[in-house]
Amino acid sequence: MLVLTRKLDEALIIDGKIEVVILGVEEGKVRIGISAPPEVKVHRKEILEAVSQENKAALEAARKFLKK
Amino acid sequence: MQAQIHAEPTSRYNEVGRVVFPEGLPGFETLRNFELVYIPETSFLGLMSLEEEQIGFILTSPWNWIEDYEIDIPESVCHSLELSTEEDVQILAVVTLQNPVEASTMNLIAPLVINLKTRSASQVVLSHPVYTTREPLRRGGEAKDAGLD
Repeated sequence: MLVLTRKLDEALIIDGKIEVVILGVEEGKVRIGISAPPEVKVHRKEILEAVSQENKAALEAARKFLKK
Repeated sequence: MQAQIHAEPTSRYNEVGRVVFPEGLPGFETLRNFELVYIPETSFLGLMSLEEEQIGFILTSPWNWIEDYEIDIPESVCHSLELSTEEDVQILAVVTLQNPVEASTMNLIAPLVINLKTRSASQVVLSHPVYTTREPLRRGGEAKDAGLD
């Protein structure tokens, strides 16, 4: 993992096509602006994990039903 | 193109049959090929993996339960699924069945978007979801009509 420090309004360029800008820092929160091409998907990790968990729960429940 | 869909699109294509998820589904990234089937006498469809026979999801149309359901399909999805017209789109939600069946829920944070013309599909994780991963199946309290009792 790459760890680096950025100040307000400073940015990162990833792979020459994704720009990540620090828009605001206050009280333990960081506001981030991301510009990326349409094929790049950006998600909040906890939401992606919640979807993954729910898919597994749905599968388990469906298994019981489909066995009948 | 950004497709904003307010009503259930009517399609000239077959709803059921083979569908391919080029990126799999969250939690099941390696599974690509599925068969979409009707579950007779219910409000549900089955999404059966053609790669792992143990894997199958229960799906439903959000409009079965929420009449004014709306979805704003992100431009990136329209791009990757090559969606150009509403007629080609099928939207379905993954159902988590519960006992009793009236307590079952559907995942509206991440609906399935299917291009019925190309049979290419994606489970789209919405950035600004209005609904939750466990949205109750309710239709004025008529969940019993689901037909799974």
